[in-house]
Amino acid sequence: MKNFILVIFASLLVAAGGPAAFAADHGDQKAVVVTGASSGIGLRITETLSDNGFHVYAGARKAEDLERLNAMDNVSSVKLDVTIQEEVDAAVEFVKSEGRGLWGIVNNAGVVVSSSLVSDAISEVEFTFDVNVFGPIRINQAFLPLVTESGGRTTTIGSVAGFLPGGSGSYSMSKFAVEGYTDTLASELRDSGVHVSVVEPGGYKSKIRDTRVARLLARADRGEIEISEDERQRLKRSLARNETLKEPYEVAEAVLDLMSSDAPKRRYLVTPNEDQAHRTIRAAMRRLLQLNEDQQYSYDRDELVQVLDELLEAM
Amino acid sequence: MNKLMCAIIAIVRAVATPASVFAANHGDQKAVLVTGASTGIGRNITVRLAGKGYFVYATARKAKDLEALNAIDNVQAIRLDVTDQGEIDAAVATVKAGGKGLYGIVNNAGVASFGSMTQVPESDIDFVFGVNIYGVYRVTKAFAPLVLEQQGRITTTGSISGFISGANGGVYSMTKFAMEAYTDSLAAELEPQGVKVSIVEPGSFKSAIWRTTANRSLKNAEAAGIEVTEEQRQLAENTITYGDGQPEPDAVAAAVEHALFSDTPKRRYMVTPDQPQAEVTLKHAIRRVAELNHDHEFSYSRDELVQMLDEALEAL
Repeated sequence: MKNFILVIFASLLVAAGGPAAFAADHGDQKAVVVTGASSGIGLRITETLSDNGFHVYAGARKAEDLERLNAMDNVSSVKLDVTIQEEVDAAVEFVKSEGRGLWGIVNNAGVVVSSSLVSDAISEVEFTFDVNVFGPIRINQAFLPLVTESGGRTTTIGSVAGFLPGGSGSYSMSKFAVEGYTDTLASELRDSGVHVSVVEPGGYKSKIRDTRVARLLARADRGEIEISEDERQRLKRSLARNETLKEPYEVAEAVLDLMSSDAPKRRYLVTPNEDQAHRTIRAAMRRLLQLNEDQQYSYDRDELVQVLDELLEAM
Repeated sequence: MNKLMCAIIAIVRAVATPASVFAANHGDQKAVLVTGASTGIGRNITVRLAGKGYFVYATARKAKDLEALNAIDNVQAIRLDVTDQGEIDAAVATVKAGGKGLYGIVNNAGVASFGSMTQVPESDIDFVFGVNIYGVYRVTKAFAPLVLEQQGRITTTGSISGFISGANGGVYSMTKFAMEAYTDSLAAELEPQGVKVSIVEPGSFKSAIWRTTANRSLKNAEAAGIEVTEEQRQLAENTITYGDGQPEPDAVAAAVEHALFSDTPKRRYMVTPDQPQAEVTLKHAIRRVAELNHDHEFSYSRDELVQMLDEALEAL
């Protein structure tokens, strides 16, 4: 009897040997798609995941970025503009052909373009939504069948800007739309085994500001918009400030956690300092209280605390 | 030369005087623009405000709706599809020609769709975003200069779906989430210039949106050659029956009136027909706070959260 068990055990080992050997080439290494991987937060995520045993399909648009990313260990770069369906479809085919399957999606590509809700061209708002909102929808629609097979994870880089007004209004709208998107997707995928989350970074060093300023100046040069001297100075200051901001390593750590933890969270608020975290939580609290204020079915203060306690208990 | 100047000034005066007298006659009658005024919440708002003596530019797309709106006292109907920039520009010209200026904008026109986020076609999303997000953006941008002149008000019909985003309602919820952020950003931009901004968040009320959404979903599926199952057809039927069974949105219109004309307007007006809808919305909002706070370097303790809540209540 003992021998019989040993035989079974041995044959299991042999059987496992085949695929496992194959897997060593590729396979026990989980693969993750990261969009907007050429710089800033996307690049840090790509570095952190590839350093921690993941294979990263790093999406970027420019040849030089693709080449640089491809030179990194455990990274395959993929030409991917999230606003172009054909490129999304081609990226899916590429990932399939690589034979690793797909464990995770990181919807990171994002833009900030406008700052005024009463003077910017509608095309700027549409562009913001095309990248920041339609981008994750397109990428998830295309890659989720692979992630569902592996029972993996999908996340989107939101922003504290979804809660805090005062920057670019269209950016804030797009990031709060991602909040709603995340909750819906999580309910729809509840039974699929796929975990859905959103990461809300505060202000970190990122190329998103350079791109915004370059785009604004180019539009001014083409005569599409006027930029006052004051505004020019403000833009310059925003670029100078960017240089003083923290590198987004903590954001990348949050993504590593949600890709590898046994108990990933729904929301990852990640800020470079306490003030930004607390302003964000306060802003969410303020919206809640504004909603509650002086309506037919308002909770009183103690009822609010009771509900809060119940929800904290359940977390 | 002097004589010529005098003559010009005289002419300008002669032309200008009747116009300003005309404006003075209207002047204490504040004018507001209500989009999507043909049915449901928009029509209820229009009837209420016009009945209170305000002048309403009520917009709709169909000739028979425009005619019906025009028949109401204190209402001038304007043809307007909020996705059509040409029609928006023409509507601005019409309002300017009316000589009353514009005190308020009520961004009410809205559409919805059903479908899972993993399958919904991009064209469906485009359609809903086109009306609910870009439409609000276009209309507000076009009329904001008039509202700034009168130091008036801007309000948008949001939804409790700006706080709750569940299965199959994702596209609609995303647009209403976007309106939450839009409202706060627009307020940050315009309140220093004297224009108050708010959002009204209705729960389920009687509205044409249920019927049009159900019917469009079926039509789109048929057009795409997708076979509609009996179950889906039943869902559409149930949606229409549900919508018809909801209460009239009188309380929503009352909230809009408060947002536009009260001396102490609120930023957010949640208006639900029953307690469960209000509670589920508040619980979602509280859960979001708890999730944002959960388990990170700068998390508040439970007592700190309660203290923050007390401070924020104090500051309302």
